[in-house]
Amino acid sequence: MSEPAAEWPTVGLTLRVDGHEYPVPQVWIGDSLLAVLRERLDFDEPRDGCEIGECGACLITLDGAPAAACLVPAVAAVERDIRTPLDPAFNSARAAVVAAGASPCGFCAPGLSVAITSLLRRNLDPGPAAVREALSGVVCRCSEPGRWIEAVALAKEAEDGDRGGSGDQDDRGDRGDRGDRGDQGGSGGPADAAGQEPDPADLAPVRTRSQHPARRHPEAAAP
Amino acid sequence: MTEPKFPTDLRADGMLWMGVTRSPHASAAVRGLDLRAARAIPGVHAVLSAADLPGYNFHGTRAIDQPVLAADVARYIGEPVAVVAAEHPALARAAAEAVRVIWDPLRPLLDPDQASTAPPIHPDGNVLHATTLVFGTEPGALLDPETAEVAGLKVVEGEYAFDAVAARPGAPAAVIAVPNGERGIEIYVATVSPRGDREVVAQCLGLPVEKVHVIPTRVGGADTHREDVGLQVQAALLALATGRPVKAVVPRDVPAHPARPAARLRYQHVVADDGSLVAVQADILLDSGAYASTTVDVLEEACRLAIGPYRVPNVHITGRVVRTNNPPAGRVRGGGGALTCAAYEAQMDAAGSAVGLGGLEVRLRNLLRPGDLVPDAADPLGKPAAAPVPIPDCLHEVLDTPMPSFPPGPDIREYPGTVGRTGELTRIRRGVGVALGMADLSNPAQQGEYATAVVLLSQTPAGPAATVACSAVETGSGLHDLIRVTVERTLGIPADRVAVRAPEDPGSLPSSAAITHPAWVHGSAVEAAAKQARAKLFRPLADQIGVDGGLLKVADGHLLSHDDVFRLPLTEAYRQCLPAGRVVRGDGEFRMLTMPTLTGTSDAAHLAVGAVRAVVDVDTELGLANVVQLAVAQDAGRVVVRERAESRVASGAVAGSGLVLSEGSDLPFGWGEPSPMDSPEVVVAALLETAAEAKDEIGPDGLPVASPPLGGMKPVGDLAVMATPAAVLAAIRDAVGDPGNGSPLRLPLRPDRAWWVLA
Repeated sequence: MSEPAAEWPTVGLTLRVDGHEYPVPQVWIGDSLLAVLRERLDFDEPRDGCEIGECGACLITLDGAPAAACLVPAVAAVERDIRTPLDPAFNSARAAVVAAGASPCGFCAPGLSVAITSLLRRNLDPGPAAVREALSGVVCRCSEPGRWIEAVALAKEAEDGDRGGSGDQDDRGDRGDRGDRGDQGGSGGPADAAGQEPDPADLAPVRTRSQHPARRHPEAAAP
Repeated sequence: MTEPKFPTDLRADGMLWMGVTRSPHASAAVRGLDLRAARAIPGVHAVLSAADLPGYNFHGTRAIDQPVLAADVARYIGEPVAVVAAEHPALARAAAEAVRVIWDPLRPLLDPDQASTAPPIHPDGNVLHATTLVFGTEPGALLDPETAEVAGLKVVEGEYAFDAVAARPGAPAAVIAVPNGERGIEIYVATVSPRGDREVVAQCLGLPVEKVHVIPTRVGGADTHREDVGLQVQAALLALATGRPVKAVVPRDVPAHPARPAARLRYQHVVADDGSLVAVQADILLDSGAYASTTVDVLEEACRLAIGPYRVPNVHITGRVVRTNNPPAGRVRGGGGALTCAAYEAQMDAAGSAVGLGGLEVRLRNLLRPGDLVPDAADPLGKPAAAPVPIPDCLHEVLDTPMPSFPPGPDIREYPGTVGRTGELTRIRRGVGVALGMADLSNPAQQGEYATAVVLLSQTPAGPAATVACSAVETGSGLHDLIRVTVERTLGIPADRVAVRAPEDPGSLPSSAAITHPAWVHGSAVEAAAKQARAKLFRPLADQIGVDGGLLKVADGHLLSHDDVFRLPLTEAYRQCLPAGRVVRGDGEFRMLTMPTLTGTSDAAHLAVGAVRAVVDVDTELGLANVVQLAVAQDAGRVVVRERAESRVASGAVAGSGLVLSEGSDLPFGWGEPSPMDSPEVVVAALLETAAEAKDEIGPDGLPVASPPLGGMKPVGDLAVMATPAAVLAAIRDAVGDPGNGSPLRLPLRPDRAWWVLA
């Protein structure tokens, strides 16, 4: 039998998520990045699937590299460039997932979009086996790999189009801009950030919690 | 964002987290419970046990035998005994661990074979259900090998053992319970049967049913068989005790979803030298785990589908469901047919070897035709199969599918072993196997169902739009697409301008407990509502031509009278009848009594049949099997949204290959479903639309067949789940040979059980 949690060490953090600074006071040091993103900052994506790094539902990128947010301690994500599946960088992959019908229930769509985007960043023309290997960390119960391969092809088409077309809309440019903003914020360690009260005017649009889940119920809230 | 949310995405101010103290023993008496240490932890707001439950502590789908919280005895590893609510998930976990339970471990009953003779582990006894289906001559005499030989017959015996499979969906089991003053308690959960859940929760909490509101959220994972309702009761109990919202998320390694029951099947087929089947005797034993859940339904289905789509004159099928100290099982994708198909198809291959004709030839000589008898619980003489039974068409379609090239590669990841990169051409053998499957539509045990729907029509800048309020829950199987198409066909409003949402007060509207055919139940209610709205909307036009509004119909972008004399472009009709600001409401309901009463076809068994061809590469040394391609063809009855139907079939085939090769409950966290790396290419060779044909058929009694059940729709997906394991096994047999009679085949066939390695 374990000791009751008599101590509850917490720190204040500032996380840079999708290019915006989010100060989060009183984070338990054991909390994962996933828990902070979802429960403190109210992001619905990344999703929480297994919380043990098996299912890929919580895939994000950290400094551009894919990572399972459930396995990253929140305190280790300070000062890093966190991109959730909601970041525009993953839009073309997300659109491709939808167009290919690759995630019928939608649960794995965010993780899948991140996985597809990261794959296309390191492999410009992946073959079927490479696609399957790259996406095998994402668990899905209601689709089949044929649709995933199709989704990758569609995402690749879209990215190729972007590259050839209007040019500087790609995510790297985006990130540079936002990185500058990030540097003005709390660049100290967690301990520094804990002592700071953020000026609301400086904040990026922090998502607010609604008061009641009923109002947040999607179907009830639909227009 | 207006996108629907999964239950874990719902949050509320002041929300607490649930933690659960679970039994570490498969069987143990609770001698004492000390909650003080847990209650003393700062941030912990409630620690409750069975004694704190104001209502009835038991629930269950078929038998009310499963406690919300184990009171005096725990019957499986992971059974909840106490629940806590705390301000943080980690605190909730710590508090749950701080609950001190004085256990008195008992000898667990883990082997279902011993259940009927072992001391009862539950007051209701260990045998939950027994069933016998017989027709023709008792095959007993025929089964004696000596007698059979004299008569020129061969007896083919086989034993098949399936592990339980905890087929966990992608999204975790989660509930959020919110106390809401006078309104009572609101429970947000990914359920497909909010009405049934509501009654159970009310009874367990001792509340009037109006005080409980079960609100379905988005469902992740395309499986309609969701978590046990006990989770809802536990969260609601804590919410009521603390007056704060409580969120419960169940860790992956806990048996929160019903597993496919472990099964042991024993078959004896008597086959004549010309390959015709003379008799079948089958004995099916299912392990329900500690509680009854829905395993009885799985057994009934397994027994009805025990001989497959074959003509056999003499049949004797016995089935039992027993209780053990394993985690509770229940119905999962594919149902009972998924257990029997792998077994009877293995028997057909064995029969083919025994008479020297080959498995495919024996199948062809015994194919079920309309009017042939199939086993039926309600009719001891068997029931004639209703037309059509298009097995030959399905078979042609899968056999005509182009074969993948051999050898695989050159990418080594296309070999068995995939990313392990163990593949080597010299060790690869390719096999091809075909399996036939059969699902039934008219489940005699089907309970009554009731669904309501509201359709609202209004004008938008983009044109007329519809909003459908109904309690059909989208699980990723395309139910909402189907509803949108239904509205499009009835009202001529494009599907992209049809919004589907939950009823305004979902808790108070009855909604269906549909499991097997929500598309039909909800689709019918929506169709009725859309028709009523159509009649109301176009009444002014109907009055002009002197007919009832109900006689108008929509086709080819026009509004037509029943006799096609009146014809007006839809855009014009909407312009005249739906001015901006007018809202037209249509209400619809659909009520079904028991299945045979409704369809009027209790004299015939309505079936869906299909065929799967599997191409499998087997590594002869490492025991790895790589399913290269699956071709599926099935009778789909009526296809409403083809894209969705094909997706459902393909994912069913992938699930089926996981069930036979990799999944299991003994794996850490119950994973083992095929990843994209393990999944085959799936070719949906054909979805036959036979509904129109079925209407014109003359039944076995010489009378026209009544309208087919389920509005002509047949369950897509289930057949692929059922027949794929059988086809994969047949392909492996083709590649590396049959293990021969005598050794029971244990499934899933993971490398450690591969006979071709061990031999």
